[in-house]
Amino acid sequence: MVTRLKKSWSKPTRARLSNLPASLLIGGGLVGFLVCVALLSFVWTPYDPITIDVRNRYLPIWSDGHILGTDKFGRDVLTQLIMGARNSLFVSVVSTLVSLVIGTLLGLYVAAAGARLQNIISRGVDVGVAIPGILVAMVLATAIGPGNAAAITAIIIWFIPVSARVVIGPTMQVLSQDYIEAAFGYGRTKWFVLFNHVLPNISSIIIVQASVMFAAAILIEASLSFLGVGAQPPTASWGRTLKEAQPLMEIAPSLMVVPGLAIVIAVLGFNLLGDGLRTYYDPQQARKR
Amino acid sequence: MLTIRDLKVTIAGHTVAEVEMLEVREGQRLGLVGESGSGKSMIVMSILGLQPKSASITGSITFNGQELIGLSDKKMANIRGSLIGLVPQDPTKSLNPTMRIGKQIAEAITLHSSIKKNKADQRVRELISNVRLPDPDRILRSYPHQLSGGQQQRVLIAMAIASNPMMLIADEPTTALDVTVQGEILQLILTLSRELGMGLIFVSHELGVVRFICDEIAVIYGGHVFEIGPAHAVVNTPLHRYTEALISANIAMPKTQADIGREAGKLQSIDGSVPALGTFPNGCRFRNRCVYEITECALPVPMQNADGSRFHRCRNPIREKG
Amino acid sequence: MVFALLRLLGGDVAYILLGKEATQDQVIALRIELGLDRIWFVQYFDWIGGFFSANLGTSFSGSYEIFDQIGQRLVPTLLLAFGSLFVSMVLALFLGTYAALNADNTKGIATDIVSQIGTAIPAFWAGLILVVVFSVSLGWFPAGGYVPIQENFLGSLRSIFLPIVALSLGITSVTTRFVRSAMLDVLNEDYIRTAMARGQTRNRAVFVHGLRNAAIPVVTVGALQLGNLLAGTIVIESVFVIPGLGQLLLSAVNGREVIVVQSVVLVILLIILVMNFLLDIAYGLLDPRILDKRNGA
Repeated sequence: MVTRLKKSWSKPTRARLSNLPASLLIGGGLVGFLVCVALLSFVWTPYDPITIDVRNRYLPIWSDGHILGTDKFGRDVLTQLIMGARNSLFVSVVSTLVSLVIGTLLGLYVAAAGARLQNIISRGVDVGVAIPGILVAMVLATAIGPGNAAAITAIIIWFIPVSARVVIGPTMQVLSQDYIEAAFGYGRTKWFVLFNHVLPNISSIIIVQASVMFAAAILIEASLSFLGVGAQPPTASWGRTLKEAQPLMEIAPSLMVVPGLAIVIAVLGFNLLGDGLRTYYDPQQARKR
Repeated sequence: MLTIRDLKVTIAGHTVAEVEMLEVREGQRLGLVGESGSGKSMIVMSILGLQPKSASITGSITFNGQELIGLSDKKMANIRGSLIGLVPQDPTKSLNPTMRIGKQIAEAITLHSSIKKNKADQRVRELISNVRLPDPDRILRSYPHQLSGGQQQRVLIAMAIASNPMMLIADEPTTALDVTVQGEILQLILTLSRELGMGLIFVSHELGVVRFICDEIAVIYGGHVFEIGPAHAVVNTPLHRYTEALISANIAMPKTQADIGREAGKLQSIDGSVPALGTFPNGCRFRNRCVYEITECALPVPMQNADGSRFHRCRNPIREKG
Repeated sequence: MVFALLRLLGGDVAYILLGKEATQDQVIALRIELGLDRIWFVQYFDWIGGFFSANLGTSFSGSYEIFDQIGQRLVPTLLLAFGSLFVSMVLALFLGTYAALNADNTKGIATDIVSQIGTAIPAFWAGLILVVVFSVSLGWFPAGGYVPIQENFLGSLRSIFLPIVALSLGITSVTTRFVRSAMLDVLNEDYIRTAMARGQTRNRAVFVHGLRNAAIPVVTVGALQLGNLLAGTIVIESVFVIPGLGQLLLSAVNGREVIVVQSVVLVILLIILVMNFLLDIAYGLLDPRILDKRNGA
């Protein structure tokens, strides 16, 4: 009898674009747009992001030359947004990738380790997951000073146990399959088996997880820079733009609405992408949800 | 009492059950027999209005002259439990795991009578002794997981008869149970239906068991009634080729009532398996697995009257002692 | 652990405090004054001992007693955190159930889309928008600040209403999605069908027999949300200028007051622990099977 994996994270059959889940298309579109905007900022922005223009302060939305208006220094809001997208993506890409690599390795190692070590590390992972990333960031900011570095390190520290936790269960399930025993029978080493047999089988889980973590990282980055613990001036950041807009909410409410919408769109995009990928990789399971 | 006419249940465009005519008279015990996936559960769930949400139903089901199809969930709820009781398939999954047994039985009582919650206790104890459960104090305070499967099924039977219904529907009530207690549960259902004068629809895949419990048997396949008649006649002189196949598959058919359950585990199946929804052949739905297939089997098969009380739908039936 | 993190990465606290121009002598003098010349574990026990004997000393700037300050600021933070936890758990149970019952029609899909968007809205932005709409434009609620609950009960509720709404939004959305999927599983359970067979309508059967069962996995998920909840509390305090632990922490971070940061973080972690413990108790109360397992029966 053929034993089948309980949840199928095997490769799906190739689907036509129209057959893809809607959430995947919408999420992918939003994320793609975001990435394009962030990349665009390296070659072109509507205005210089730092130059101060005192004559054109607090221009409303749809002003001539400034589609989204200007802030209290007369800087173009659209430019600030584009630069903010760059910072947001930079922080989330770096922190997510680093923590995914470390977390996955840790997860693989723990899953293949003996029961006692597994117990100890799993306990530690549980504790790690429970500590909010923002707290870690604040402790770090006290130690090394506020800035992107503190934010990124904090997110990494918080995400490592999160991603390890996601990997451990499925890895153990794959390791219990017959063909893994066979591979060990050939005399393959533990890491060879983990990389060549386990990793391909759980890759879809990791990809989905990455998308979800991107979304969370964007939220944390925004929160941290809102609190003044993240990116420091003159680096543009959505969270800090909001912080600066807070005392001006009666004069220029649009300054507050626009960056918030940018955050919502970015987070929504990655969340939908994650949902869509999950459906794409595992339609049966997703239909139940 | 219960009359089903031209019932048709469809899910996503596929017909899962099609019944021209089925009747249960007061106090009568009807057995619905067929392999799993034959649509027999779907038929009984349609009677109670408990079919899946995605199913659509046409035709007519009347109970004491009242049409059940098209009734609102609220009106249907008044009939469920009070006029028709259900003994479910898997007792271990059919009780709310987070509510004490006593409260769940009391719910069955208070829903259909003026008895207040605090006064229901006496009736609950009466029911518990009716289903031959010992130590009512312990049972009442227990949560489902603290009881055995057999005890849980007794509790569910107690709920089903709480309002003295006119009819009981038992949907494979012993399939999920340990072989050793199957016989006791069957005996209990039979005894209760006799004592209380309840009609019974007994759904099972074991023809041999149904023979001892029911007066009449309907053999179901692919949602169609293939053969219907008095229990002993259907088992001893089957008319439909499918019935015959079902009987010969049932090698370990119990000889006496006392044997029920003892050898149920030895059941064997007919060659091939029940096709997936929507892949049944035209005409006779069984013909792709039937060794007696003739060309006419590809045509629609009407219900035929064999001798007054017996009906079948087979193009090439077994001739009596031919 | 908090202590270790700060010590490992912290560099020289005295050096940071005095700035780059400080002379070597000044640094050494300050280190002795702060007790930083001692071995690390002596410092650690000193701190932990101080923490539990209600004596953490005064802050570097000398303006306040750290322990008293934490005590004062605990109440608004607890109100916010527990208030939001309660509001979002209850709301999510009903919204998620509604979404599950209507999973195949537009009402359910709409609930689903709203909760998906709600998950993406950062709490502080929701707070800002609420202030613009309900305080600045409509004037229904104060835009910020906190009225102590012992002074004016209604005024206090008014002052924390918007913060709780802002904080609950995201957590309600996430939890709603979990309730929905838990409820979809429960709807397919045989005991719902049996309850209907006893004479319950579908909606009543789900309400009477489904809610508690669906709440069990949700409580587990709720425990994982606690970190986010407290993180949100810190941010929301900043939006609404509520003098809670988050504000204290923030000012301590900016002033590099290590002892204060350590202590506040420890208090917040303790709050998470207590909430976790409470949810654990709730879990045991919801599911009788757990109790039997724990008793070894």
